[in-house]
Amino acid sequence: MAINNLKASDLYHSCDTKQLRFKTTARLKALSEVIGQERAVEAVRFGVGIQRDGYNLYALGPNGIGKYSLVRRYVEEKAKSKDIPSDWCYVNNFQQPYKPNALELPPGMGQELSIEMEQLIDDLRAAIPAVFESEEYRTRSQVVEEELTERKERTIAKIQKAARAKGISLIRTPTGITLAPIRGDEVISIEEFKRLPKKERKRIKEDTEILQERLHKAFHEEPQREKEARDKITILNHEMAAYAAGNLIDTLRKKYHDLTAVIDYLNDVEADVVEHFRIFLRPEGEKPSFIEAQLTGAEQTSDTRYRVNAMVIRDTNGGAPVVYEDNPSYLNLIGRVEHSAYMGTLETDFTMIRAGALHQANGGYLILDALKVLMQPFAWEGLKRALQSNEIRMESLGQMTSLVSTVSLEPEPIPLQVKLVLLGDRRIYYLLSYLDPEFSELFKVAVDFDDRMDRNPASQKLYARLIATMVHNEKLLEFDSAAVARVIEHSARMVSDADKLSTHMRSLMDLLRESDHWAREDEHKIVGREDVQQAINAAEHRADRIRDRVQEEIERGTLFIDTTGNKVGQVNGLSVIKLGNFSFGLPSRITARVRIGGSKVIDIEREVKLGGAIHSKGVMILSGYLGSHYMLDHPLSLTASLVFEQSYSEVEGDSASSAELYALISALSDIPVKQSLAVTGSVNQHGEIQPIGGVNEKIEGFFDVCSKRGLDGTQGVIIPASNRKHLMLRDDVCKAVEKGKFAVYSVETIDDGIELLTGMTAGQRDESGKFPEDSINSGVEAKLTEFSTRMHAYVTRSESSGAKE
Amino acid sequence: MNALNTETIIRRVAVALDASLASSQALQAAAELAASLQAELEGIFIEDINLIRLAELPFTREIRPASMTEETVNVQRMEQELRSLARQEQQKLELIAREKGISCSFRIRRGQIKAELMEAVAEVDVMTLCRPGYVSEKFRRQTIGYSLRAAAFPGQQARSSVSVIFGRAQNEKRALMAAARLADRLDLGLSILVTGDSDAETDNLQREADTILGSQTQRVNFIRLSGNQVSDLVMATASSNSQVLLVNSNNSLVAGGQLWHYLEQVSCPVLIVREQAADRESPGTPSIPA
Repeated sequence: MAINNLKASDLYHSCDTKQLRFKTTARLKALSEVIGQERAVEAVRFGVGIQRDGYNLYALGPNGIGKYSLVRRYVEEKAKSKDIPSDWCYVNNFQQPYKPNALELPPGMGQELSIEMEQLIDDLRAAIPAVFESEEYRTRSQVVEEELTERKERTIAKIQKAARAKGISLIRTPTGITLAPIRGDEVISIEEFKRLPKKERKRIKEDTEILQERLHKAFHEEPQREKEARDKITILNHEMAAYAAGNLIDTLRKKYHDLTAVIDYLNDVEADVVEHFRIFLRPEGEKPSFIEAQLTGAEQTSDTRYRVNAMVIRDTNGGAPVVYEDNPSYLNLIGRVEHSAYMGTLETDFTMIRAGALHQANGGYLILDALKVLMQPFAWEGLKRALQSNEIRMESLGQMTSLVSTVSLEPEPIPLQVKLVLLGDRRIYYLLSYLDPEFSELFKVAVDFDDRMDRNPASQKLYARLIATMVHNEKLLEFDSAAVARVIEHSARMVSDADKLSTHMRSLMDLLRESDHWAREDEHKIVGREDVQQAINAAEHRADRIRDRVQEEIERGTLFIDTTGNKVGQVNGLSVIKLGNFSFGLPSRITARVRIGGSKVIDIEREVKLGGAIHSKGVMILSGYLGSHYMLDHPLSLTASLVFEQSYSEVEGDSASSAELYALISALSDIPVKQSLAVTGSVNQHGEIQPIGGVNEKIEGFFDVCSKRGLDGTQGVIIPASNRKHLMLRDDVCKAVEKGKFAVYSVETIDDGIELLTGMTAGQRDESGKFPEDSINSGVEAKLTEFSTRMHAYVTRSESSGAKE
Repeated sequence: MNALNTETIIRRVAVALDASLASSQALQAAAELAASLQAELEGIFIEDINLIRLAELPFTREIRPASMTEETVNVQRMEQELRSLARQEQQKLELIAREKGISCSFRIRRGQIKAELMEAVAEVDVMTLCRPGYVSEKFRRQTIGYSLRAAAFPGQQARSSVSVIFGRAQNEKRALMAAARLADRLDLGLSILVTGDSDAETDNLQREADTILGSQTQRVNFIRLSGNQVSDLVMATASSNSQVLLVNSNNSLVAGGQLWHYLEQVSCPVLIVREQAADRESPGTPSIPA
């Protein structure tokens, strides 16, 4: 038997300001190390240090615990000591324009090359027209042209002369050229021709045919001559363009002589400029017409064709990049190829390739939120593929899903070397580990963040320095030691454990900011304990609308909760309701009815599917307890029904199982239970009371109901003894206990609890195995034995009447 | 110029059309002049009788340089091709008339080209001629030098003046006025080719021209024609970078029969301005631009 009426000091573990040894946070040194996350820190250090494939990190822990800050801090520290990675540019692939080439350059040189190529384009725009407008070019091209024209005219003139000598002339028709006999300037008519002597007609015909043949031959040779002339002009054009471009490109070649890839690219540029010199003869920015583009293959203007898309440019002052992508969509991670509308169609080229987060983080670190990645279509798959292949292959979603087969760009893949850190909660980590076999291969380092740390004098001092650091970083008013102590106490309450402190940094930061706010409102120079308390109260008040409504309905008698008197088969249970980040406790009436039956405890919540699995388990344990505790020699012939009265939503958890057992015992023994007490705690088959969650909220919930009705000193709550260390109750509860107006009892067994509830002895079996008379257990056993005997008689009667029939 | 309008009324500007590039340039020049004077634009297409005759001959074959094919010629096909060309030219005429906001008409004549055109000169106020030949320019364009240079230097063939031959001030002032109008409209310079026999006469002619033009025409350039040879005229129009040449119908170039020789050597069209207004209505079908 271990019933303890707890003292006020047992209900709240205060932080002693004397132990803190400072007046205000102004005197505290900033905390450089991370507290309470030793395991996580060790994991991050290991993860960012090891340079092997697959050793990416997954930081798991609840939101707001400080995963991002901690990871970023250690990653940036490491990044500073690493070399700055390369710049990456995309340039035109002159042989296969739809497959742009990637160019790797030392940090900072990507931008330089891009600017210099722009300058080259400008220079070519001036230099190339200049050589083609030069006297030299005019003269040389004219020579070729005139040579061809003269040759042609000579040939035609020769034929014409020969024809004229025979009274025949070359005549142009709408579609070609022909020969006909003439007289003067006129072609002879058919009548005139017919009047000619037969011999003359024959001669004219034969001469015409001979001339026709010569003419045909002359024309037949024409294409070949034209081609020769065209070739000469082409050679001349290339010679002139090469002269104009060569000098300009040589300057760049000298500068980048030690970068083979750039030299190769510049050689390609030179060859292409010579081939496509005409694009520099167009006015700046003018695109070739559709027909011209088709005929000449000049898809791009000079502006784009020779540009350098400096896609990733490094800051030469920093180390390796650390990138956090807030919107990790597939395209934002892998990069994208943009398009622009031109004459009703969408077109693109290598200058429209945009870097993704992987490009930016290449050679460094990329931090992503796991949930955001998983919520973006294809992002997870794209990320894994990049990590597995160690390269960034840019594919549009259409290409990737094979839904679109139109021609698009296929940029050359870029080698990838990145350390990826995913931030997420534990549930996602364990789900990915279970469901995605590749996950464990790619994220070998789990950085597990703890949501609490030990509370002791030393850790409280460190916690105080953490608070001081936050205060200074956020430029808040200084906190005095009492305020810091109150923050520490609230931190213990946040984790519902007097011996622990919360490591949830966001909640802590919020409390500090809000305390600062209230202090300033009250024109305090320093944040005091009352400011912190006001911040806690205000935050609670902002969230407790539902709690107030429920309390109000209890007060008004809509929800039936007795806080005085005694009732058979009726116990005040306690439950916790969680709404967002706010939890509160409430009493619930639990009732039990018993009758003779077939060893069945009916959980009405479960029957109507309002009871969760754990709750049902707790109820089933009751049958085990009743059978083993009271009916060792007889079958249990009991049908009992248990119900949470006025409960209209799902009941989960086994924290009410002790209350249900008390109600059953009361119903069986017909002994009334004090309604001034409320009960929480789960029970096992041996009748031992086990710890439950939310003990503080539950006690406060019943206290509030009693407080409104008036505390008379009889009211209180029975809790499991193992929950004593979790107590961090409100100040008003502690004061009421101190004054003897309210009580908190801890118990270890069902017998402890039933004695408190009934004021009677539970009773232990004596040496003969019998419970003492007038004890509760004796009454229960007697009732169950009676049920069993009556059941046996009933079954015997039924069987004998059945046999007679 | 207003004072001279009544003396220089031009009601109809005709142009000889034959589907060549030169005739397109001539059409453009004629349309601009007609638009500047709000005159009617008349297209004249001559079906060359020589082509019909040669098509009747049983042994004539045509070589087509573009496709390098050879085919027998017959009358039916030749007439069809000529009609097709005429239709194309009529459409071009109507299109440009619509663009310029002037009325137009089109007529087809059949006969010897030069004779028919010279006959037409007498029927209109202004006759626009160019180097004759259905395919002459197309044929020229097939030469490699032309296409290469045109591709390398687009637009380099642009001319920068309107030229007019001005001999006897009283008789040729109509051509001068028309040239001034055209130069104004096209925003080009005006080159006046003066044909005085002596320096004194040339000076007189310049003064006459200045008086006729008044102050309304800018960028006037006087060029003295050193002789009456066609070669002199070719040189003068080339040096003034002429886009178009205007000449009085009584000028020796026209009357003396050297016009065709001149046209063979230049590519700019010639506008022959009749000394007096035409006294006969056009026999063509008038069409009103939309």
